[in-house]
Amino acid sequence: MAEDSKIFAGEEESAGFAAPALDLIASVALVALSVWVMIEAIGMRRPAGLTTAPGLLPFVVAASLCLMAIALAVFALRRRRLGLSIGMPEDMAAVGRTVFLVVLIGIYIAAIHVLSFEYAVSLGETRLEAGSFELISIVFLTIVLLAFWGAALWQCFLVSVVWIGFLAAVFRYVFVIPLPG
Amino acid sequence: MIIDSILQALSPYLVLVTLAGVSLGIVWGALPGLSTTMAMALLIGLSAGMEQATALSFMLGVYTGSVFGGAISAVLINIPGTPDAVPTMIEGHALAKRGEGGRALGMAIAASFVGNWVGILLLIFFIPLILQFALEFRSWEMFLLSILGITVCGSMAAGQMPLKGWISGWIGMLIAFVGLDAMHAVPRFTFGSLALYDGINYVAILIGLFGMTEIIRVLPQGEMHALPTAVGRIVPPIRMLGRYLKAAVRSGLIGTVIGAIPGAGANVASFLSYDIGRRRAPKVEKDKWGKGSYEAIVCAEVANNANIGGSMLPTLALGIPGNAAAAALMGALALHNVVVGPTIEVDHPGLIYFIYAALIVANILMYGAAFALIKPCVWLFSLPRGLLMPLIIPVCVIGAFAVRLNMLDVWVMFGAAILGYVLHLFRFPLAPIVLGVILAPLADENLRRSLFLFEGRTIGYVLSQYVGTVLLFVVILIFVEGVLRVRKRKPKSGGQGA
Repeated sequence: MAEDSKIFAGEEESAGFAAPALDLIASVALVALSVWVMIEAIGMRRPAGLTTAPGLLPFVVAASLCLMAIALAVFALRRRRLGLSIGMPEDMAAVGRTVFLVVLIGIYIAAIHVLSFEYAVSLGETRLEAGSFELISIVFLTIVLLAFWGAALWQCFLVSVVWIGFLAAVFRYVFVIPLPG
Repeated sequence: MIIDSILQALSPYLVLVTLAGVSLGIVWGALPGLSTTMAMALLIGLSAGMEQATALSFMLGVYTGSVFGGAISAVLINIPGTPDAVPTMIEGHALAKRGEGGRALGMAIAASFVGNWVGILLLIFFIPLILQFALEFRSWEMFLLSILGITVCGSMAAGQMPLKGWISGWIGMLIAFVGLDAMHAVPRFTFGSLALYDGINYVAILIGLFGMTEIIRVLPQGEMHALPTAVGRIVPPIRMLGRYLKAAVRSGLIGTVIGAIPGAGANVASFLSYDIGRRRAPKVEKDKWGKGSYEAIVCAEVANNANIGGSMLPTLALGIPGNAAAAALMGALALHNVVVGPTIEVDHPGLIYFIYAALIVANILMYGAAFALIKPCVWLFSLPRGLLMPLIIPVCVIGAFAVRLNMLDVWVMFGAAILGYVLHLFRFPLAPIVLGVILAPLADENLRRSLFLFEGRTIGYVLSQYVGTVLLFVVILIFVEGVLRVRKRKPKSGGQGA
């Protein structure tokens, strides 16, 4: 193969060995999660004995997950001892912008969840509706476009209005699916 | 029934819907960063408002179109639109730089067309056989089959480190346990919240993992600047394809078989076929490999498109999605009360024939639409990522909400996106999570039912269930193979390795 760097390593290219420190953190978190699940599973009611207990498979899955997490930690420690390392993923540099985006999306969803209103206008026999989803989405999209596209405010706003209007029309009138908010 | 299904798929309305799906799929697949699975996941919500036949035609059109679409950006801007287009990028862009971009794209289109045919024909041939076999499966076999699906998917998704694939699958199973248990209605991991009694919807997980995660991951990375190479005249080199017929048939078989393995999708298919093609190519052709070989394009494109038919095999016959895109299709079908699996022919007579017909129509339309859409795609490549990706965020929100008209699903989607991002940073694969979420309820119910039936019986009786014993053996074998694969890797100091 001409470009050895492109050699395939699995269906998901990014999956595989991480830096040993990251694998260790993951294994500790997974052990904690699986221990918690095991405790919860044991505490579940058993209306018809052990064989049909609702906590049976969750317990088995959590126990085996715990073993896998320990194996992951062992691999990580062995690789650490051998001085093997994998660089941090490229997008670690963009972590600040990622956090900003995640927070923004969180606020967007919370706003749709909390604010709920709808207005309707009748144009002849057609009833046009617009609600909190459209308004919140236009504001949110304008901010995201401003931050990541970097165009002028009026351009970002125009794109937002056109896109959200299009989406709302398709879902509300073509597929008759209610919108959130 | 067969003729009815074909006639239905050929009705002008459904042909138009399929054409819309294929066109959207081609454009979507061509845009770097937008994957086939992402398209399929986002469209589940939209399909909720469609009739069953319309939803199927549309989604199969998108599936067919987007797998090919990746080749366009791969050849013209040296960025694979979808990960399976990397081999096409290596060869196609080298040809494009020599002024043969149009011919390379023509070859990719023709190869995709052939690949789809191979996949569809093998699907039609094998489904009745698998269905006949699958009808014999009882609780014990269904439990083992579910575990096998998650295990194989985990093993294939993280080739270097299958352990991480299995962990992802197991996390997916844990997510699926939230809610009332199906047998005794005992609440599990609901924290006293009534909203969680209904369980976690896997469509929301799918949209979060493959839609929102991609946006969170890719958008903050900044712009990719790539100037499209001149396309030139797009020639469908049918005569040239005839020269590579042997490679095409071989790649089609590889693509279909790989597609039928849960977790192994178009990426494995195209890379494996590309590699096998290189080894088997005559000396003259082998020398061109990596520098612009038409045969290499045929190998990769036939395989990744044949994969579509292959992925439908376990999805329709066993209810185990062949890949994440097929899982999305399953989700769309579930919205129309269609549960796929061994009894599909009994529960939904004629549906399988309609799916065959819809795939054939989508393939024929893909051939035509691909030629028409290459130039508009070149224009789309000039649009910045910072403009395109934010537009998908509201689609993710609507998609998650539309399934059950429930804001909880939107929050689940958001949570899945954050989980997906964190798992990506820790280099865990995401597809096994989806398989875990889908298959865990099946595994849970069937394990308990079979244990109840086995109560008081000897271990000899359990082992005398031969199909189950074979499946159990295969599950153990996959774990052993995965462990051996990691152990065989020779550690290199300062580099990657186990």
